[in-house]
Parts: sequence; C-alpha cells; structure tokens
Amino acid sequence: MNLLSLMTLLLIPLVAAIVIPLFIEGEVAIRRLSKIVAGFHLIYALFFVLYLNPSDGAYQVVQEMLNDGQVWINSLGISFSLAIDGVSLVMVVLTSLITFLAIIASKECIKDKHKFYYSMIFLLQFAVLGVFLARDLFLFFLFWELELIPMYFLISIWGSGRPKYSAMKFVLYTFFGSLFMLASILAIYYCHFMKTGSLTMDMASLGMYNGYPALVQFFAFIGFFIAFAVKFPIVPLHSWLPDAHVDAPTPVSMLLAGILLKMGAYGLIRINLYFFPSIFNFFAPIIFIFGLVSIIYAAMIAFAQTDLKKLVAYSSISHMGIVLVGLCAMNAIGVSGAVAQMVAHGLISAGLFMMVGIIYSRTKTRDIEKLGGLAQKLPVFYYLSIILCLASVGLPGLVGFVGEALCFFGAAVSDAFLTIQLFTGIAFIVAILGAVYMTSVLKRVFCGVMLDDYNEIEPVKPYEFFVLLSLIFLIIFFGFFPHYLVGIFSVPIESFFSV
Amino acid sequence: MELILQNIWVVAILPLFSFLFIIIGQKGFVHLEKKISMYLTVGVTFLGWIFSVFALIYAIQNQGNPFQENFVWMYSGSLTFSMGYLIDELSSVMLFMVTSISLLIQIYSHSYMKEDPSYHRFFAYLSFFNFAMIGLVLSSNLFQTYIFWELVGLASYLLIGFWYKKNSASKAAQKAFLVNRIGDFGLLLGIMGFLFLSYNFWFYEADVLLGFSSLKQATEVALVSTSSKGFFVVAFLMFLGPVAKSAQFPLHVWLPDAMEAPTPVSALIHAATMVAAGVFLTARLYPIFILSPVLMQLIAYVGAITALLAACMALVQYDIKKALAYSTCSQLGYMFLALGVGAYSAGMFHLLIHAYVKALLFLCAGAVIHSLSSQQDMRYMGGLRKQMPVVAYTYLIGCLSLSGIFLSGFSSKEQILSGILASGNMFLFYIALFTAGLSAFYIFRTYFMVFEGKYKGESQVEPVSKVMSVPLIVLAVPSAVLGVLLSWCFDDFVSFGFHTENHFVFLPLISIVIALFSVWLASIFYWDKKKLIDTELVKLPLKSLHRLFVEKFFIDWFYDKILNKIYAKAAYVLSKFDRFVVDASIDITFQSPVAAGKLLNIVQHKKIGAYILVSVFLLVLLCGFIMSILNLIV
Repeated sequence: MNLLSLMTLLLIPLVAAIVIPLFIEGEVAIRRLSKIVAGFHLIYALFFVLYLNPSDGAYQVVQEMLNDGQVWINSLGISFSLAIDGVSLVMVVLTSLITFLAIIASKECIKDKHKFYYSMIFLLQFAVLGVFLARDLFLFFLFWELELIPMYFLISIWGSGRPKYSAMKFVLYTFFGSLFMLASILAIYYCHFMKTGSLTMDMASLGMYNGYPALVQFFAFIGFFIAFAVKFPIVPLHSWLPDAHVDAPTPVSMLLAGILLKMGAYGLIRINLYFFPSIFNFFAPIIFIFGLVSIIYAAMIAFAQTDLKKLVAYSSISHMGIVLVGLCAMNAIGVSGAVAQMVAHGLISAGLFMMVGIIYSRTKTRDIEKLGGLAQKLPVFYYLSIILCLASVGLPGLVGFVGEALCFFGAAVSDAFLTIQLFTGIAFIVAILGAVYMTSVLKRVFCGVMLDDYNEIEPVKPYEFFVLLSLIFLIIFFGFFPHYLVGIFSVPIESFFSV
Repeated sequence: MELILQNIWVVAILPLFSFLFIIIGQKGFVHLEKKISMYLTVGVTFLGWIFSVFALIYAIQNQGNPFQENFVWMYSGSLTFSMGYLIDELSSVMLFMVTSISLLIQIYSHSYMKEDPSYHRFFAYLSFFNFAMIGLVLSSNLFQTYIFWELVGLASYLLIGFWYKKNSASKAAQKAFLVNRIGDFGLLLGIMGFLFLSYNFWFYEADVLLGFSSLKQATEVALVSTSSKGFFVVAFLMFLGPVAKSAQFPLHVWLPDAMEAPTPVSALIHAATMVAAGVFLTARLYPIFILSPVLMQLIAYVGAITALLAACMALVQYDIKKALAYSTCSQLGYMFLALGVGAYSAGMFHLLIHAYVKALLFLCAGAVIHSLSSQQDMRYMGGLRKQMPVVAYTYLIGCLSLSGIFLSGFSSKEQILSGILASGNMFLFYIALFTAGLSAFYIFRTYFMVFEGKYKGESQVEPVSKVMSVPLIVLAVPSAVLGVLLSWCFDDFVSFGFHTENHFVFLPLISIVIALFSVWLASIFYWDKKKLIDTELVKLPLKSLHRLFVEKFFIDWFYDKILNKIYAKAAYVLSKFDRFVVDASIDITFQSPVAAGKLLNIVQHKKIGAYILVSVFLLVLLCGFIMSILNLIV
C-alpha cells in the first residue's frame, strides 16, 4: 500500500522534468533516461489497475476514492489531495502510455534542444496527471492551467509551419475557456460557503452538496461546459485544433490527440455530470445537438481535406463528438461508452498521427494528391494502417467499435429526453461518413500506381514499428476482450447512476 | 455428440489461429514452403466440415430443439452482450454449405494462386474469412451477428483489394466497403431501434440479449409498444443490412465491381457464401419481418426488381465474371422474392443449391481465365470445349442447373414459382417467370460464347491442372443431383411453421418449356454453328434499351454523382466555411484584445504581457460581476 502512492505517481514526471535539464548531458543519455522514466511510470500506473482490483475478478473496482491528501492552504479550505477511481485510473494509464510512446516516437523528429524538450514532455505529463488525479477543485484548475505552459513551448519551438501562431491560438483558446471555469469554481465555492459555512474546495463535498440555487447551478454548468468544450473540442470552438495539430511535431500531436483532448471529456464527466446531474439532464438535448453537429460537420470537412494531418485532426473532432452522444444518454451504458470511446480515441488517433508522421518523414509531403502506391514499398505498414483507419471507422473487433456501440446503444435505450432515439439515428451516420474519408485515405495514399519519387524510400524502422504495434495490439486486444477495459470503470459509473 | 456440439466454437476459432499463424510466420518459418499455408488452411476447414456433419446430424435428430451456449462478452449498466453459438436447422445447413464449398475452393486456390507472390497472404485472408463467416452462421444473437457481419465485410474488402497495385481493384474495394457500410448502418440502427422497442422484454425475461431463440416473444412485445408504422421503420432499417450484403437493388452496385478480386474469392465470397448471408439473416429475422406485411411486400418487390434488372444487365456483359456476378444478383433476388411471399423454405433451398451451382460456374470461369492468361472478355474466347472438356462439361451442368432444366436448380426454382403462385400475386409471378427465361438465356449465352464455336483469342491455351479440375467435378455432383435428392424433405426440415403445398400441375412443364425456348434463342444468337441472327441486327431497333442495360440503368452514375459531385462539393464548401467564417471570426475576436493590448503598450512592451494584463483585468471584472450576482441570489 505504501509503495503505491498517488503522490509518487504524480511526482515522478515532475522530478524527471527537473532532473533532466539540470544533470543529464548528451542526446542519447537524455532519451534513454526519458524512456526509462516513462516506462517505469507506465508500469507503476499499471500496478494501480491491479491494486484497484485486488481479488482475482478483474471486474471489481474499489468504489470509494483513495485519499492521499495533505492540507495545503488551510484558511481557504484548499488541500493538496489526490484521488483515483475507475474513470481517472484509465485516463492515468492512458496518459502514461501515450507519453511513453510519444517519447519513443521523438527519436528522429526532435533534432535540437533535447533537454528542454524532454523536460517539457514530462512537465506536460505531470500537469495532465494532476488534472486526472486532483480531488481538490482548486488543484484541478491549477493543473488545468499548468498544462498550457509546456504545450505552448512544445508547439512553438519544435513545430513547423506557423508554430507561434498555432501555439498562441491554443493558449488563448484554453485561457478563454478557463476564465469561465474559474468563475464557475468561485461561484460554487462561494455558494457552498454561504450555505454551509465551511470553506472547502474538496470535489467530493462540493459535488455531493445539492443545495446550490438553481440559477448558480445553471450558470456554473455553462461556465464549466465552455471551458471543457474548448478542450474537447466541440464545434464551433474547435478551430485551434487543426492548426495546432498541423504545426506540432508528430509526438506532440500524439499527446495532444491522445490525452489533452481527454481532459475536456474528463471534466465534463467529473464536474458537469457528477456535480450537476439534473442540469445536465436539462441541457442534454442541446449538448446532444452540439455533439451531432461536431460529428457530421467535422466528418464532412475531413473528407474535403487534402492535408493528411488536417484530415486526421478533423476525424478526431468527429470522433470526440461520439463521447457527447454517450454522455447525453444519461445512463450507465452511455457514460461507460463515453469513457471507452475516450480511451479508444486516445489509442486510435495517436496511432493515426504516428502513421501520418511516418509517411511525412519519408515523402516530405502530407498532401494526399501527391501520395500514392506506398503499399508497394511499405506493405507491412500498409496493413497496420488499414487496422488503424478501420478502427477509426468503428469496425467490430477493434476498440473503436466498443466505444461507439456502447455510446449509441446507451443513447438508444435512454430516456434522457424525448427525441434522443431520433437524434441517435442521425448521429450514427458517422458510421458512413467516417468510412468515406478513411477508405479514401487508404486508397489514395497506399494503393494504385506508385510515383517514381518513392522508389527509394526507407523502410519503417523498428522503433516506429514498436509504437504502432503497441497501439495496435491494445486496439485489437480491447476490441476482442472489451471487458478488460469496460470493467475498470463500469462499476463506479453504475454506482453513480444507481444513487 | 454432445462433446462435439459443445466445442463447435473451435470451428470458428481455428481459422482465426491459422490466419494469425500465417500472418506472423509469413516472413519466417511459413515462407519456406508454400504448402504450409495451404495445408493449414485446408486442414482447419476440413475439420470444420467434419464438425458441420455432426451438427447437421444433431439438427436432423432434434428438430425444433436447438442447441445453444453463450458467454458474456461485455456488460455495462443494464445491457449484457454475449457471444455464443446456436445449432438449429438453419445454421447447420449453412455451416455445412460454407465449410464444404470453402474446402473445395481452398484446394482450387492452391493451383490458381501458385505463381502469385502474395500466396501466403491470400490463404491468410481466406482463413480470416472463414473465421468471420462461420462466426456469423453460428451466431446466437443479433449483436454478435452484427459483429461478424462487419468482419465478413472486412474480409471481402481485403480480398477485393488484394492486388492493391491495380487502381480498379482498390476502387472496387472501397466501393464495396462503402455500400456495405450503408447496409450495416441500417442494420445496427434497426437493432438499436428493436432493442429500444422491446427493452423491457430483454431486461426482465430473456437470458441472452437479442438472442435469436427468443426473437418471437420480443417481437410481440415490440409490436405492442409502438404503432405499425414505427415497427415498419425498425424492420426496414434492419432489412437494409441484407439488401447491401446480398447486393439487392438499389445497393447492388458493388458486386459486379467486386469481380476485381481473384476468381476463387469471387466464387467463395461473392457468389456462394457471403452474399447469401443477407438471405440467411432475412431468414433469421423472419419472426420480425413477417409481422410487418408492408415490409414483406417490400422484400418481395425488391427481390423481384433485382432479379429482373440484374438479369437484363447480365445480357449485355462481355466480361465472363461480370456476367456471372449479375447472375448472382439476380438469383439472390429470386431468394428474396421467395422469402417475401412467404415461401421460406423454398428461398433457403434455392440458397443452398445456388451456392453450389454458382461456385461451380465461377470456378470453371476461373479455370478458363487462368489458362487464357487472365483473359476475361468472352469475345476473345470460344471453342474451348475441346481443349478443356472437364471444365466445359461441368460448366454445362452448372448452366443447366441454373436455368432450371431438370437438374438441381429445377426443383428449387419450381418451389419458388409455386410459392409465388400460392401467394396469389400474379404480377410477381410473371416477373419471376420472365426472369427465369432471361436466366437461361444469359447463362447459355456465356456457355456458347466460351465453349462452342471457334477460338477467337490470341494467347496460348494452357491445360487445366488436376488440382483445379477435381473441385469442379466434386461441385458438379451437388449441382446436378442435390435438388432432386432433397426436394421431398427439405421443406420439412427448414421451415417456418407452414408449407407451400399448392402445386400447379403444369408449372414444371411451363418453366421447362420457357427455359428450353430461351436456350434455343441463345443458341441462334451466340452459337456459331447454329447462328441465324446477328446480334448487331437486334441491337439496332433496341438501341435505347441496350444502352440502358450497358449503362447499368444509370444507377452507378447516380451514386457517383452523389458522392463525387454533391457530397464532395458540400464538404468543400463546408471546409471553406470553417476556414473563412468560423476560424476567421475567432481570429478577429482574439485580435481585439491585441488591439486593446496595443493601447496598453505604454505600460508593457511585450505582447504576452499585454495579453496577461488584459486577461487579468477581464478576470477581475468577471469575478466581481459574478460575486455581486451571487450575493443577490444567495
């Protein structure tokens, strides 16, 4: 028990972020140490999966939160307390995994300022873990803001194209959302204090308390929603994402799509849904429509893109829309589906960005029109890409289907609002629209006649295969045995809805 | 017996293992010897065939008492999704058909694909297909069916695009995937709708979610909980799945293009097994469909229209595989027609017989194409009977059977026709009769063009290997006699509560006369020896009709326009909208603080500082505002 501490889990990346620039010299040594730390962190995080399922049945999860806290700023009721449950656990493991793989993928795309780069990656991991682990609302907000700093540098220093513009856009967007979040946090903090007389930022007590005036709940909900919608991203607050992705280097894109977007979805569940279920229910039709628009709008735009990376970025928006469908179902099936879809999207979009990165590093172009016939030179890579693209389409047997099916089935049997079945039917058109652009990618990039320029391209290197294969292994494994994934978080979600 | 039935999932799982084995070992141990892949795949399928015989025996002995077992796959909230297997009359017949045809085609493929560099990959895909198809056949519930339904689609997608260097192949693969996606979309949506309507039943009474064995009770619950229109919509959406998978009008467009796949694949997937899965699923969902009379009418008409249109298009094809593909469409339409008018067992009987016949015809065509070094155009064939008598005579058996002249096809076609007659819809009956005539015409057209007359091609005709001939001979046996053997008992075995007893005495006579007349007609057009009329002469007065057939009734053209013109244009406009309206407006919004920041430049010279300052200023304002509002409320 003492060996597995949430504080250690959180602080390992921070220590690495400090140690690397101060004490380590040489590119190889830095990279090696980073891999070791990230790998160790992943294994350490996996132990929590085992710890939370003590008896043999992998389907049992400890329902009360672990508390590992210390009082921090006593007079304001702010404590440095961390907690973990099924939902945050999968997010933590996903974060560790994607960070580990992103560090491996950085081998060749990062050519200078290694110290700073790996330090920033670990700082980012620290901030994201903080968001997923925080039990204190103030801490949550702090980590939420902290994440901006490493991300700004990662895009603006190692990016291409217009990195400064994109990084600034990303920061401003998030900052804009954060303002609303801060206002909402203060509002409920203040109300809670006025009503009960105790100053606390503890998420459990703020969340359990249900004496907020309706109007406060209403506006606090909207405030949180805007903050999370920006990160999510929900159309029309999405336009930072394609720019950020296009200009970021491959590993940063993997992190961005794999874990940063999950912060928004996590916040929607942890705060909007858990704090204000009745308001969520009230807003469900509107949120559903946002999800519907995100799904269809982004899928159509993805089809019109000629830049491969932009296409994947838009497909990412489209697939995050499905998370909203699951959440609006307002039942255990839909919300489990939403979490499953978050994990699925994390694995798949990280894989897709890796795929684009591999193509770009060899052909020096991301323009679909200029690519073609790559399958002849890179057959194995072609098969792996088929798996990734079809996983994104939601093919059964791959993890994308698990998330999609649970979200849509949850919505189909939901009674959140009257016309949800009809909306679900419309939203499900993503199954067709997604297939249209993904099969087009496969056809136009890999099939057909190969251009002569690509006769000499390098084969895929072992470290690239390692990244792709690890992701694909998980995509297939969870696709065939979804209960190893869903079982981690379905019990806490069910217990929330059965109360 | 019990032991075999309990372990029948092995039949589905083993092909998956052989797929993984070949894929992983492709570069290493398997690579050394081609036969490893072949023996592994064939061995596993042979085992499956033995199991299927036992399953069939069980089903015959225990009619109306299916064997099933289920495992929990995933549960969440109130839904528990299971995986399982169900052995009843329907699935045991399908299992036998799939494994036996699969086995023969795999043996045939060894010779057909011998020179191909991707030999191992081909066998790996075939194994994967077997896994998906057998999983689909044995499936115990609708959700599992959907999963395997998509996986067979994936196998089909991979095999159509097998030669990915060819542009046309990857295009056809994409087309197949997308058209099937439309069907899958409808199917899953229908399943969700059905689950919604009968949710209480599954939640409180049934043990397997969406299980086939309790579909009947669930349908009754669903029917009570909604209007007949709502029920029709759900059933219609489900029916979209079979329409796409079995290439029925208007989603038939992918099947002819799918002929880009290697010929053994066309025989196995796109003629005998996968495309028949649509008919199989319709039979499985019969308890749902039959309670919506409008939908039953629709099924019958969709079948009839497909049968007629596809037969018309088959008339003008010069590519032998495409002619056969349209014939497949048309025959599948026949089966849907039968199911739609209530002739359940006749439809399934035709499925069984057609599978053997069409597999035979395709394999013969493959043998011809193989020995003419990939020539598929029938105008460059002819007179091949002398060079390859085995192929020619087995093909002739297939043709006779398909036209319904005495052999197997006769009994199933006759059952369908009498079923339609019993339903009393004379319009459909005449269409079916007319289509029967057309079928005999187009299939003998191919026979005369390929095997009779003089050889018109240029390439050397290579002899057909023994490994390829044996499956042809074996397949010719069921094509010839299966119908006669089973015609008296199939009706009792696979049935849906009622029989079509109404026999019109002259019906067999009429259908044979029509078929023979059509064969004679085909001979005067296409048999060089008896040629009376030049085809060009007929084309002239029927010019517009001919154009309509050649242009495939402009259906492909229509879809192409929708996707490449309307949808692509809309997507393009939307992407511009996103760039110049959504993005730009946000940019402008963020420019305004920058402008404000410029004013503040007196204090701070760096822009970042200005941002922060403005933000903090706004934040304080906002907080103060909210605090004051809160004070009013609390």
